[in-house]
Amino acid sequence: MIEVNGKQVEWEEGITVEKLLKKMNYTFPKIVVRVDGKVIEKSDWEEHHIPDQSVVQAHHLIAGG
Amino acid sequence: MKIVGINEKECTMCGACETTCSTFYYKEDDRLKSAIQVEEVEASPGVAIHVCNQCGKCIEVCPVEAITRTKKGIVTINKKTCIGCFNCVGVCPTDTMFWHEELVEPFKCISCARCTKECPTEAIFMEEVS
Amino acid sequence: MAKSIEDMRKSRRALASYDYDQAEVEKGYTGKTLYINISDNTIKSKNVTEQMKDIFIGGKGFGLWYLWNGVKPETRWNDPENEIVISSGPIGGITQYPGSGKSLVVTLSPLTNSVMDSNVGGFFGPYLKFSGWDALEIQGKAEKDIVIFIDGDKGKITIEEVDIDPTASHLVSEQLTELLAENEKDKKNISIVSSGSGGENTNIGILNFSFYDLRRKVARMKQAGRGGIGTVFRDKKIAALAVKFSNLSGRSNNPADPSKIAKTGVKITREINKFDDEQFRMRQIGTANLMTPMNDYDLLPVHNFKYGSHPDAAGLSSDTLRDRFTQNMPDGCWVGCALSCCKAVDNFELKTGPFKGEKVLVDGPEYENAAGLGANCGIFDANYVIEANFYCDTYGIDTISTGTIIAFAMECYENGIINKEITGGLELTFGNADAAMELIHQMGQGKGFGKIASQGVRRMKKIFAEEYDADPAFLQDIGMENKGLEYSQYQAKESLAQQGGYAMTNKGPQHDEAWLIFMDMVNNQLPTFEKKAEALHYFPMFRTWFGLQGLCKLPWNDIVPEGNAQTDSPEKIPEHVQNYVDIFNAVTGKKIDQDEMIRQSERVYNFQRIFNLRLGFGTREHDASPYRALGPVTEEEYESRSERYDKQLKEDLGIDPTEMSITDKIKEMRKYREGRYETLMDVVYERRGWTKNGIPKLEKIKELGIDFPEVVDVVKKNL
Repeated sequence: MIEVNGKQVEWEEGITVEKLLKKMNYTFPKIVVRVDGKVIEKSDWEEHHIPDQSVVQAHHLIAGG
Repeated sequence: MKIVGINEKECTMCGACETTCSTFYYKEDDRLKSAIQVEEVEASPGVAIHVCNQCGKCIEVCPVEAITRTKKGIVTINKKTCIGCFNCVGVCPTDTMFWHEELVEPFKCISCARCTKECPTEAIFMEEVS
Repeated sequence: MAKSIEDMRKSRRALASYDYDQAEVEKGYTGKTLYINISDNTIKSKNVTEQMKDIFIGGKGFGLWYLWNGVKPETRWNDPENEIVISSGPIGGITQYPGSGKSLVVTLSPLTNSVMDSNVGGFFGPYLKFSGWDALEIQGKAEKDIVIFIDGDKGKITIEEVDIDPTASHLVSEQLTELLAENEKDKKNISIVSSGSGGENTNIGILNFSFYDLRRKVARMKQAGRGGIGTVFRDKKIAALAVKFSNLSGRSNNPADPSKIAKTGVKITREINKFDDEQFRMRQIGTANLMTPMNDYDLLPVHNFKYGSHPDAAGLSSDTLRDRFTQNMPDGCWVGCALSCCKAVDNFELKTGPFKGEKVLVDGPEYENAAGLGANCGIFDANYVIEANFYCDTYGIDTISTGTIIAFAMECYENGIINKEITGGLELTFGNADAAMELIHQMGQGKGFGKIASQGVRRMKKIFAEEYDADPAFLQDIGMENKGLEYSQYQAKESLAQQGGYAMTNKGPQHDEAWLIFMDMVNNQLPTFEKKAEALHYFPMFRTWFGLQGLCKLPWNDIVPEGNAQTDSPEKIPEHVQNYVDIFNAVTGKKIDQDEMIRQSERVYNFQRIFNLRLGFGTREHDASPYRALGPVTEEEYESRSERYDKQLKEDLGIDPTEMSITDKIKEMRKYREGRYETLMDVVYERRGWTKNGIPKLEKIKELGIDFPEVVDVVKKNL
């Protein structure tokens, strides 16, 4: 299991930041992703593997109304 | 149109261009009131010369249509129409639309060529571009 | 419909005039406000006291203070003593920082019967100030339609009868601009405030504030939309207000430290140029950039807030709308705004209504219009939304209320609560664009079923229950209003914090106090009641501040500076908060910090809460939410997201849903969600320094320094 925005999510072998966002349906273009506190740059999302037990934050930078 | 061409390698940072410009247009020797500004930078060749290339990006953002292009292609500010919002300063891709805290309106190079005549090393010169 | 300008000029007849010496603006204030009573045509100047500046700051603060003094507890919206107060604020009118030209309008609302405030762009507020007046206060009722002219160049005010047709706002703006301008160039020096026939025929009348677009050569309009201010305006028989000021400069606001303002302004203008295209694309699409993400995250209101997305949403996607807007224009509603979000559709040929066949400019559609008039009514057709947007504006009716009203009527129609007989033949099913368009015309013109719809959701519920035997409880559940005001267009079901952000507000469910959906629902940054309450304290206070200053909210967080993600609280955009503190200090010469900024808002916010109380509202019962905003009302609603809801029953409530009937599931879910909303109220009230009944505590108002005897009296009476 990993924690994504405070919620438990099933961990999968080989899951990357990119795949996780897809799985979560996080399509918004401006998301700041932290894995265990460390910001992962967008250019690294495809490559960056998320280890089991990680704590992931995917903060949507959306201003709204 | 004729713009101020630059060859930064030749620049000795003597300041003659800045003095010429600010003295002519603002009657004082203050490099921050010059429409051409020379800056020491880390990257080679160690000097950056900031002067307008007359690209005209500022024209389209001016809310009061104070910025226009002359028949000769030079971008000028009508100071009577300008209200000093500095949108043009923020949008300028070459950071060559200048502002000064004592002045309400921004200012820029209008290709008058005075500075190029004072440059001792031909680091700046008038050049024809399309 | 259009009158000749010459005829109009000849018809001008002054009922009263007043010459004055224009007070110089000093550090953001002229120190004078203009009082006009149109019952007896009194025109006078009032002094702004230091206490007003210290406690009420300006803008909405000044409006609330004057209104408080002008009305009695029993005053209602259509009594002559009700006032319309327009004020920008100390920062309003600077041109170097984006979003600095707003006007705040305050009055007693025909929808809520309580205090209403609305934040609007256009040139009126800044020009009013530079003409010598920090605020304009209008009281009384005229006998015949009048126009009030404020000539800031000559120092002259007149109340006049003018032969002008006040029914179409875009023509009123255009014609009065033409009347006052000496030449084409002069038009940018004029701003008109007007309403339209919707102001006469509905409870949701708006005020349009004009700003002249030099490139398009047309007087465009921004809307003070919420709460029926235009209805009050027309009830007072005001056809229009006009201001003229010709000497605008970047120093007109005469700030204490212009250099600091320029530096801060250039900094954010550079940010906008660098990042806007990759962030929110405000310059390309304006607020309509939200359409696609809202649908993607199940937050776009669909079918009267039943759902959060729709398979046809592509018809109103952000990019679809972008393609309709003219690009690369400086679309600021105030001079110099680099965020440039007020997009327009040019040369739009109208297919219906009194202007059928004409090619017009349409301001917008903004997000609220596309979401409310379109998605919420099940209509995913950009042409419909653009046309509806145009007519709402020119009739002078609120697009947000209109969207929520039509959506409500459609759900009632589909449930058999109303039928063709009642609607006069309108087949109000979700998605029926022709019927919706016809209803807008009826509302604007005061005809047919439009006469019922234009009273607003709260009164429609009453009429449907009393006259058509509808179940009042069901209407209460699905009628999306709180305090009498229609909800703005966000689906809040999965964000408890946003449910509070809507219903625990001063004026009613408008998202301008707090927009916490992503922080709460997606990012899960507010996992506890305490954190939600903290957000429901901080953000409403912070956002109130814009309305005290004459500022727009958008440049705060619709552009994000570099490095923001690395700050302690990215959602607050700390660098921009500091920009605002710096600008306030640079304008006024005062030395406030970020804490004092929040205190400034708290004073006015609590004062407004107590003002509600004084008028017989402002307690806990008025912060109740229709259940539609909290959770699934109907079976189809539950079933459409049953996986989500079943999971919640299991994980959050500890109930196994497998053997449960859908009725029981809805019941259990409702008990849980309503319980949480009640708890949230307790915690938020506590954080705001209020009693369990939502009344500011005496020690709180003392601490804030708003313990005027009258204020204390009101609070004591209600404790």
